[in-house]
Amino acid sequence: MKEILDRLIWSLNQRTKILKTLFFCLIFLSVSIDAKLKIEISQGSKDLPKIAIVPFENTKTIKISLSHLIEENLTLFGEFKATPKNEMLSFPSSEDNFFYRDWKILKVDYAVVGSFKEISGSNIFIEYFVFNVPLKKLILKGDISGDINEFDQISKVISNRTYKAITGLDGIFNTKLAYVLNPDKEVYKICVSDIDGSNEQVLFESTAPLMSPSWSSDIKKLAYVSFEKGYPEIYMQDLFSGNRESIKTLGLSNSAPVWSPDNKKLAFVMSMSGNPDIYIYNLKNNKISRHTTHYGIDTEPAWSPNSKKLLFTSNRSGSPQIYELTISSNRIKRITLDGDYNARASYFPNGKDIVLVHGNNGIFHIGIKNIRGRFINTISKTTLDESPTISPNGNIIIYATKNNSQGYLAGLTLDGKSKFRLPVKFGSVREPSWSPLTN
Amino acid sequence: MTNNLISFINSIFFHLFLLAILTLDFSIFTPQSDREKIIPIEFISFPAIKDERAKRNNDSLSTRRNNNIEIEKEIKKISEQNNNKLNLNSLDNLQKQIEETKFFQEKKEVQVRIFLIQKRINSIWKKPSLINQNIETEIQINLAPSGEILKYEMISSSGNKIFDDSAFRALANISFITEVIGMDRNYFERNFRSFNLVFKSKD
Repeated sequence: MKEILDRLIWSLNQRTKILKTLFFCLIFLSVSIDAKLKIEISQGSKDLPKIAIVPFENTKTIKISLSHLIEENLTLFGEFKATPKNEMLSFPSSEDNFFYRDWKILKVDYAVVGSFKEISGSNIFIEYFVFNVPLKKLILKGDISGDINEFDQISKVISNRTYKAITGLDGIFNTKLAYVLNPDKEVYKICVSDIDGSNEQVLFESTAPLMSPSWSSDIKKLAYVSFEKGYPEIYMQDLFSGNRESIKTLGLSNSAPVWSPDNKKLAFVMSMSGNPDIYIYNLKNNKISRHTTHYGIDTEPAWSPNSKKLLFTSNRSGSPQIYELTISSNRIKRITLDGDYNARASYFPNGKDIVLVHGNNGIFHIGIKNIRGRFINTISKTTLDESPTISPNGNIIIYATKNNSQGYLAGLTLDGKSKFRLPVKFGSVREPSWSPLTN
Repeated sequence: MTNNLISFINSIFFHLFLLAILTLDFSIFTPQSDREKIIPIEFISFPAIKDERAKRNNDSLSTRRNNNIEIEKEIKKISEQNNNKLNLNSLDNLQKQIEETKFFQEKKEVQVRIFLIQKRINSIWKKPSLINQNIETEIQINLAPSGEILKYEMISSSGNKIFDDSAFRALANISFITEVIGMDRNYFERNFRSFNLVFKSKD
């Protein structure tokens, strides 16, 4: 018995030796053939791209600082880090007197230079250049002429074009924001302002609650809910003439109007007999069609970018979750599975991802989810966040949040590098709605 | 091409491996009685034992057992000798072991350098903001032993110009990859003389 065992162990030893040598020969050979080393880089740095906006050359004594306005625009959402003027080594104004080494020393990623001159009267002509400093490349050369009194608009156009050249995304500096302002307990205002909070205009003021402003895709109209008659009713208001008209429906309560991106329909929530469902109002023939019939609450519709689908929130499973409705077939698919509260969903401009309010155990964050993915990524750090709205280029999210019962608007960029608060208004601000791109 | 070559060589080794297993000694699996037949006592001549056997034929049982043990030992010796002569001489084995340890040393050293390079480039690459886009761009880098970047060129584009540019911008900001300085020259030539950096939009 013992000898058999001995023999067995010995022969096993021999075998493993052979195996080992064979194995290592194999590794040697395969490694020496496929020799090219690949190093993966996926994280990237937390630093922001550094941008230098050189004061524009000015032939006459025009007292405007265009570069200052452009800098304010580009750094509004914390996407770039500006270079202070006193650090700059030179002040070039065109391609000819721009030297890359002056900016490379400062570790500047992008530089914007330009000049403007008076043509006639108040008309000015502006020429500007955007350089990619590390690659030593001129990435944008543009000009614009306009009235000197509209230099605010001019600066926004230049900012948009610069932003597009640098990031590849559409510039959003001339878009607008609609929101509900609640300066004291019994006054409600629907307001529209520039994206930086300036040029605030009050569209409608009421002592009854106002809710859910939504932009038409041509940015000429705004739909919202008003309680001025004692029950919620949807109004569409023309921004220029101020004309208001309500949607005539049979239902007792109408809410959450959302304009479709093709500007032909308005999705809204109506309850005929106390059970809210999703309806679509056709703006051309004024017809209303019903799209959900479940006895649970269906609310908060949001259009897909191609106007063919709707996201909505429903408690049909017992807790609020997000569902997707295909309008042509009325087919409904559940989108969220995680968490005990998912609501206020809307699509990103790519139509593949959604942003939503994700709650678990009474804490609410802004989350991002791929339509087909499984998980929700929470991106906001504050709690009690509500009603997120996505910038038309899909890179920034603004949402309403609360600090000691005072509502304010906060925002963040999707890469998580920047978080910001919009300027504080007198009173609580709720339900921001970002306008579509204007051009 | 390289893939075909690798699989071809792999198959050669696989067959060699099979052959090696088949030619090994399987005698332990044969029954005891058969084995005794195969290895008769007379196989190796031991004159002393032979005489003993002739003298004491009666109590051969105990002697036979003792003899068997000795014979086993002898067989072991012979077979080991044969083995050493035939396929696995110990010198080769030793050499291979040395190569193995060298190989692991190199691997370890290269891993450390890769980690340092990753850390450095991650710290300077300003990734553009993309929403759930899964793209990557591959850039080939040629280095001098001093770490100086001699040349870099794109092997495959991500299709997004802004993303490609951001990778180039990161490389334009450094002229030396100092992380490779001070390593064994052979290791350098084998791994870092020319290598690829893959910039990925997602982890």
